[in-house]
Amino acid sequence: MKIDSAKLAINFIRKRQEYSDLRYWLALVAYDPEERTVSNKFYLVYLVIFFAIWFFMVLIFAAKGLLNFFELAAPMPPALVVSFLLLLTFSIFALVMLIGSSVRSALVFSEEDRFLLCQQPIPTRHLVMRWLPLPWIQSLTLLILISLMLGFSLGEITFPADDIASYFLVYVWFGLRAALLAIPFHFALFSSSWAVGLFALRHRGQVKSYLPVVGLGLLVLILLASVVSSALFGLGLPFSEPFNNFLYNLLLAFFGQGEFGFGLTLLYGLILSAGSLIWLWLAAKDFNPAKAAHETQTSALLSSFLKYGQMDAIDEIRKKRRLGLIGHNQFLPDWQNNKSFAWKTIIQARRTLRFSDFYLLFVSLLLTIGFQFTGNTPAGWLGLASWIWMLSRRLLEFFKQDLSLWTLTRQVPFPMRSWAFFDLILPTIPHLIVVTIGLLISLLVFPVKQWVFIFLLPLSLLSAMLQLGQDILRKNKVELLNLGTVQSYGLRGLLMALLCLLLPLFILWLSSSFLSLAGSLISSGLLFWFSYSGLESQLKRLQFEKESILL
Amino acid sequence: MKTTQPALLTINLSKRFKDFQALYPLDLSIEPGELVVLQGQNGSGKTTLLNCISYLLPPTTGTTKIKGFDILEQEREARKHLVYVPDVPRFYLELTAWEHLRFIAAANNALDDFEQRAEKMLKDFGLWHVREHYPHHFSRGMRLKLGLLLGLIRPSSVLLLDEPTSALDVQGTELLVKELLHRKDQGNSILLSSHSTQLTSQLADRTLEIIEGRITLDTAGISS
Repeated sequence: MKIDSAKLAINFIRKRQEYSDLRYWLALVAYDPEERTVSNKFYLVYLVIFFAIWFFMVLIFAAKGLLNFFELAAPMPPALVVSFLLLLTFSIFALVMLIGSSVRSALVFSEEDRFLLCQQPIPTRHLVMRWLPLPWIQSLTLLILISLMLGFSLGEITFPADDIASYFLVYVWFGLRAALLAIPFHFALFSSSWAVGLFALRHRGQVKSYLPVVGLGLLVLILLASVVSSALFGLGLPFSEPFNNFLYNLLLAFFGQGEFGFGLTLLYGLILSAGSLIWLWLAAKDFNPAKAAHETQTSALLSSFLKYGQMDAIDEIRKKRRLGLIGHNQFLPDWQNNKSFAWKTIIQARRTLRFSDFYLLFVSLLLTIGFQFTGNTPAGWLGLASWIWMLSRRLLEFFKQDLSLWTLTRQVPFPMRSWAFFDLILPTIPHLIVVTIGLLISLLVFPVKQWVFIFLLPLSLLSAMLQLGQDILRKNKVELLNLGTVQSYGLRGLLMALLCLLLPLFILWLSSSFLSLAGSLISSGLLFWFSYSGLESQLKRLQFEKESILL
Repeated sequence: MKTTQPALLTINLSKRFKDFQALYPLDLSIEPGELVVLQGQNGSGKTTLLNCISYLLPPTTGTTKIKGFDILEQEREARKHLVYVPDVPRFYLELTAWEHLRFIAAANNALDDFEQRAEKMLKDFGLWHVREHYPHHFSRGMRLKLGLLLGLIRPSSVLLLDEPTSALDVQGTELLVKELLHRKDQGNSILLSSHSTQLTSQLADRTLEIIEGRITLDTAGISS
């Protein structure tokens, strides 16, 4: 009786999670399963038809792309080529799943699960079995799409291209057959990888925890090597011939060829699935949910943030990981008052320096050289617009963090604008330098000498950052800043930043007269002033605005 | 002995969140060397009052004067004298405990004897061994201690503390009481919110009770 109620509780929680996950994906296509109107039901039918056709078209398009591959693999029969590709796909899936579930628990638990579920005396086997379907379906989706595509590609080469409509149903069956047969085999792989993962979790920290994954991983690689070497070079491993033949026939059955029929192959798949499920059931006996929850708390949090686009929260978690526990510092200058913010920002930038920062600098360099090379054209503007968008995330990081620490930064005895400008301008300086170097190099190298860019681009970059900073201030309220919550910039801010960057270039593009040149420079200067004073007024508004939101 | 210039003076200070009056107009005066404890249930308006006094949350009406300096008109001077320590201190991810102290001291132009002062404070509060650790690895109590030290490392005349003992251990509470009494003797004015009756009886020169945004009891006889 007690066990039954525990099972009911597990079912209840998991069902809610599955439903919530389903609702999330349906929300992306604006469908609400809670709405019980007739129009909503019609909308669902429309969605099913639309996406069925859409996926079908995309897969056919991808399948046509594979036809070139068949030509490369000639004289190997196309059915054998797709069989190898399927084997390769299964092998990659198997290795990824095995390694993934061995490095950390395959069962992922959220923070709520960790405290409310994993500490209870729950039936672990039931928990494992109930947790299995959702991640399995998520993993299966990609394999289904690949199998459909491989089946369609074989259909493309089998049927005459100008009369494919006559064979439409058979053509569709080519894809469906491969996809349907892939399901039980994928399930067998997936549940086996979980069984291996449960063993690894139980013996975490010991060498033997890796034994099953190493064993199975090697087995997969040997199988792949054996089949490929036998088929391509006729070099089979000793005693591997009967097994290779069995595997060939099994793979060919996915595409309606070989000695096994659809039913027999499906049966093999089901037997394998049942075997792996029994293995998982046996392995689940000693499963420790609390240990699994401890291992997966960060990844659960990351996937939840990723699902809802909370990239700043993801950055914060990653940053904490990179920083570790202890920080050593020898850089202790006597910089006081507002200069203390420069010291702090330098430490922050140094400690969070990563490869992507150098990549961004490289992008800045290439872009400015490229812009000078192509000249002031709308295509170049598009590049500059995406450049600003790329830079903004990193360059506004310190500003946003200082805002999130409102209880500290609001108390310093000097005007807020001093540290706001430090935060916005200091991280931009390396890019300003790189942009200037890039422009100087391009002036020396390329015949098109647009010297005016040396003034325009750095100033416009600064104006754009000030605009984005201004928009962050506009979107935030002190009540939320007091709680450490900061909103990022919005579309309006981005558009204003782009205006600051592109308007002077647009004026310059209109004509090559002196008037246009002067107009471009004046507008650039005015936009900088406008951005600067706008930031100042937003700072004042944020500090002294009396109107509040209700928390 | 009462001086002519209160250390902290609020004039008609109120806060309204749309239709919700979180704090009713309040005139409050705290003398130099006076320690006032603010009491009240959860949600009664204690934190809102402290936030509005420090202008971290702009009040709907009224203003605050710190040592005679209006926090709106003479913000820079007022802030030199005022420290507010929130109940949940927040920290930079990339700075260690020591660097946090140094940053706050530097921002307040108080780097003289910083090393000696910081070392003593960290040792007293049991954080010396973790001075080079990032605060996001600290326990709640350790974070609160560091938050308090950030307030104490810089010079001030008026201290606002929001539930400073809520996560402190016995030793930490005793140290804080000692430090506050020392500061009080030096002429600092302190306004702190607390649910601890023991702390109130031990420290308070005066107690204010706040219910639904109104001061209903002031042991000095001043109420809105």
